[in-house]
Amino acid sequence: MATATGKGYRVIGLDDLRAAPAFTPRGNDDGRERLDVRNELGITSFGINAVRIPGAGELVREHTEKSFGLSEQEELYIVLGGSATFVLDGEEVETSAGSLVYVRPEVKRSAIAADGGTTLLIVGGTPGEAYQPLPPEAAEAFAAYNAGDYEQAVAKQLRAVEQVPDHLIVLYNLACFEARAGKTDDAIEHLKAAADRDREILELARDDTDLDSLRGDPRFKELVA
Amino acid sequence: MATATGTGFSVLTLDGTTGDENEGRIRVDVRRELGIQAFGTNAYRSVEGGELIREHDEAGFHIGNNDQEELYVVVEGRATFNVDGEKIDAPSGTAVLVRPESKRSAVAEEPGTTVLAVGSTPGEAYLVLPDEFAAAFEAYNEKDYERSIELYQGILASGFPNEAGIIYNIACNEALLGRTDNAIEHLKTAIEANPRAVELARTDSDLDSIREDERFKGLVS
Repeated sequence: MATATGKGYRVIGLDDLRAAPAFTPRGNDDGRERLDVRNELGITSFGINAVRIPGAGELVREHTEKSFGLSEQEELYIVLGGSATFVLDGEEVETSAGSLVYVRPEVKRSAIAADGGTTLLIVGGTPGEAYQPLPPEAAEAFAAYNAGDYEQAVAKQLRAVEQVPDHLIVLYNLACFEARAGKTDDAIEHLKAAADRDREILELARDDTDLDSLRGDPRFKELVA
Repeated sequence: MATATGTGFSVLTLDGTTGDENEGRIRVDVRRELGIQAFGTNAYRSVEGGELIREHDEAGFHIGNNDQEELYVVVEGRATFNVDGEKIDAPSGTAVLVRPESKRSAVAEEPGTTVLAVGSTPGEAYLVLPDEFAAAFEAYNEKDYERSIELYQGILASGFPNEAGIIYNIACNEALLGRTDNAIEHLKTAIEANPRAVELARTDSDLDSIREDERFKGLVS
C-alpha cells in the first residue's frame, strides 16, 4: 500500500507492493505479478506499472504498443534487480539492474527474466499528447471479469466509460463484459459505438470469444460483415 | 553512452559510465540520450555519497512543462529524501512521488546511489525543447547574450511562438545588453503568455538594468 504521510508526496517500496489483479483475460499470468504503481501513487501525467517474477520466466509478453484506435505509447523499461533478456524486433539485448530500455510504439518487444528477483518498471506516454489516465474502475472491472462476476464487471466498466467516454478499448471491453453477462442489446449498442469511433476494432470483434453470445444475432453479423 | 542498435529502440545503463560529473554527482540526461519524447527523465548518481538532488520545487515559472509531478525511483544504493521538511528513508526499490509545489531534496547515503526522476504535467502534453535550447542557455552563461537571443529567436520561429519562458529569456538577454525598450517589450509579451512570469521578474537580477523603468514597474506591480 502507498503510505501517504504528507500531502505533498507519497512513498512506496516496490518490494512491499501487493500484486494487482491480472490484466490478461482469465487472469493467467504464469507467475508474473503486476504492480499498479500509477494508481498506488496517484500519478496522472504518465503511465507506470511494474512486473516482477519470483524465478526465471517471461516478464513481458511479445507485443507492440500500436493498437486499435489508441494513442501509440513509447515505453521506458527500467530493470530493478536481477537481469532480463529483451527481444526487440528480433534483436536480443541483455540487461541487468540499472539498465534502461527505451522502445518506440511499433517495435515488437518481449522480455524474459534470467534469474530470480527481477522487477521491471515500465513508464509510458504518447509524444505530443496529454496522458489520459484510466479510472480505477477499469481495473476493478477487469478483476471482476477475471473472477467471473460479469454483472459487477459491467457495473464498474459503466462508471469507467462515464469518466473516459472517448476511450475506445474501455468502450469495447464494456461490450465484452455485457456479452458475457447476457446483456445482448447493450453489448451490441456499445460495440456499434466503438465501431463508429474506429472500424478497425471489428477486426478484434470477429474472433473474440468474449462476444460469442452475440454471434447468432443478425445485428452482430451485419456489424462484422 | 546510449547504444542505439536499432531504429526503434535504445539502451542505456546507469552504472556511472554515462553522464556529466560535477562535484561527485553524475547527471544523466536520460530523455535526450534515449530519445524519449512523452515524459521527462533524468538520472542522478553520487560517486561517494552526499548531495544527490538539490532542493527545488516544480511549481512556479519554468520553460514549458510547468507544475510537473515528479517520480523518483531509487535504482541503486540508499537515499534520504527531504520533502517539505519531512525525512524519507529510501532504499533501492523505493518510489517517491512528489507534487509540484513541494520542496524536495535528496542525499545519497551510500557510494553509487542512483535515482531516476520521471516527470510530466497532468493534463498536458510533454513539451520537448529543441537542442538549440541548451545552446542558447550556454551562450547566456558565457555572457554571449547576442548569440543567446539569436538562438532563442530561432526556437520561437521553429514552432514555439508563444512559449513564455523563451520570450522571457530573450528579455533577460536584452536587459543584460542594455536594450531597455526591447527588453520591456519582450517581458510584456512573456507576461501576456504566462502571468506567472511576473513572480520571477520581480527578483530576477538579469532584469536589474530595467528595474527602475516606469514601464517595468507597471508590468510587475
